Amino acid sequence: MLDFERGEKIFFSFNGQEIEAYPTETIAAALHAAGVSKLGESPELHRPRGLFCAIGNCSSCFMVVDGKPNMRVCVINVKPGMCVEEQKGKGELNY
Amino acid sequence: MLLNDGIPRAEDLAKVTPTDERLKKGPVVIVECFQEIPCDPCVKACKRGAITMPGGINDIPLVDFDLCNGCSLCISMCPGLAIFVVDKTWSEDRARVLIPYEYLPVPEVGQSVTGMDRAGKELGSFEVVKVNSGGKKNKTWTISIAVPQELAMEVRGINV
Amino acid sequence: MKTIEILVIGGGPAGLCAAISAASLGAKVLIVERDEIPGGQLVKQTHKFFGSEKQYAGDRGIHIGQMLVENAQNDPNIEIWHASTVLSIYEDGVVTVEHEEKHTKVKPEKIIVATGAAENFLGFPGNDMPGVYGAGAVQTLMNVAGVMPAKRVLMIGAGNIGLIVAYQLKQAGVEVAAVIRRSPVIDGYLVHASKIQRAAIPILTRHTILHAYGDGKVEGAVIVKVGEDKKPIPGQEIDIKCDAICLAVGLSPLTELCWQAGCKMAYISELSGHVPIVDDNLETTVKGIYCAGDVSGVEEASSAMVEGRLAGVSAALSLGYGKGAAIGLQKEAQKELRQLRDGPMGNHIRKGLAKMEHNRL
Repeated sequence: MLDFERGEKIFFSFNGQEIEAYPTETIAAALHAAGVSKLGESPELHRPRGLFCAIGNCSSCFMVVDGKPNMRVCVINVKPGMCVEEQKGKGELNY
Repeated sequence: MLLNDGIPRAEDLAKVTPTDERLKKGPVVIVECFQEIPCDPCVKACKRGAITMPGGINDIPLVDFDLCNGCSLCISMCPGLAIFVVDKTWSEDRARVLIPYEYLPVPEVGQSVTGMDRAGKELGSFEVVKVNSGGKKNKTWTISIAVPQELAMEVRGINV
Repeated sequence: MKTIEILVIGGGPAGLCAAISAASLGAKVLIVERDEIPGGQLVKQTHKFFGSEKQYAGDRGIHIGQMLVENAQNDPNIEIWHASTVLSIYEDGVVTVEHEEKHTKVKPEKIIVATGAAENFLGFPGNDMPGVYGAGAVQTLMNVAGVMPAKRVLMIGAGNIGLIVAYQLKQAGVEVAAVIRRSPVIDGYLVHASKIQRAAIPILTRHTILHAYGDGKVEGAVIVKVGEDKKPIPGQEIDIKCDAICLAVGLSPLTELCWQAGCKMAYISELSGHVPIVDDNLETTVKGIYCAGDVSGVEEASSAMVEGRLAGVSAALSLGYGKGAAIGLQKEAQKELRQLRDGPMGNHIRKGLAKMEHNRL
């Protein structure tokens, strides 16, 4: 039913590990393609959190992207060299 | 019941099945659409005016089996994949059933595929006798398979 | 501060149609879309749409989306900001937007809120594990990203979304263990249900989920048959191994901006929650703010597109554009909406709209 034009492969880092992706993908999609479904941990009970809505609404997919916490990775596309980390808890701003 | 599980039963099918007499004359459409939903592409698809909705787009399609020549153009136009064509005159012992299909791989003529009934139950292996593309944009294929006469009203799906 | 004649919030079917119709009458429009790509949920609808020719019936949602996006992009009267989120609507009519990672102000003369809806959640033990998705999220992974979301899925909900996504999973080569629904009847279109039954996906009405289990992510779920009283029947549990659970248990309108702008709101269950009260031309009780699509009542995308057209024409007309043509266009859209909602599947919408009319008084 669908054809995908993915463009050239790029790489980004997830928890320090190199992951393959396509620039047309969101961070969440690239992580799923790599078999990663745990994106963070809940603030109090530290239960694993994954993707839920994929439209930038529900905040289940908050991750730390290039040092910035609370990024909705379901609506942010991957960029080469991006540094993505699991978010544990509420996230802190380090300005 | 249809409303509980989505499987049409004999009483539903009785409303949309042509007479034996009509079936003996040649290919004919069977529109397995039993619910008043706002949808009318089948009416536009039939060049012979055999499918109508006199009361508006929420009507259940009304088929004039005498106007229908079983051309099968409407099959790939139905968004609900609810239209089939049956040709019981195809050969002495086998009927041809035309089924809408939207999976990969698309089968080829001569290939054997598994035929399924309305509940997804496998009915056997049947030969593909014709494959029609709905077009690049439409993307619904119409697959013709040859089935034993007694299964013509049972086979409604295929698994390649 | 950027000034604009009409600000359309949301670039889905309603927002795009609103922008295109307003721009065609001469109005200058800015669309603000939260996602990287406009099109809203059309970008993942690989099935053919219902309705009539005017709502592009028979075309697949993705193609309708591409066409609307192209029309909007090629229209010199329309500007689109993507990856931009509207943050607030202030009393003086100033709208703040996160745009290109900056806090930006926009001062529109008219606003069309077309923010859509979000998927409902469902309470059961284990529902917070990775692997529990909104059905739309799975559709996004499959149909937008081309990523297999799971190997075996349990679908909860047999409305159109549950049935359609189950079918699309099967098309993508993912096994669907079952589609379950607590109520005894299927509430989506029966043709969708018949289509997936033919593909050997069982639909179990009168079944509900008890809990999901797994070590750090979903590995299965226990479902159970319910009785006439909708309560689980002991001993009728079924263990289903799956690596994803999809929730298709309805949508709720995304009305935060309407609340904030001071629109009169009412809880109307038939329209899926709290909705802004709108008039026949989709203007809210705050003059100059219009609503279109799921935000003012969850319906099919076909209706959202017609509502968008109606709101766009109405907003443009209030700015003095399209005198002569606009009233005819409004009437035509209102007639199309009546047709789409005319049948038994539109019962609840008609009931909801009657409640809305009552609330206008």
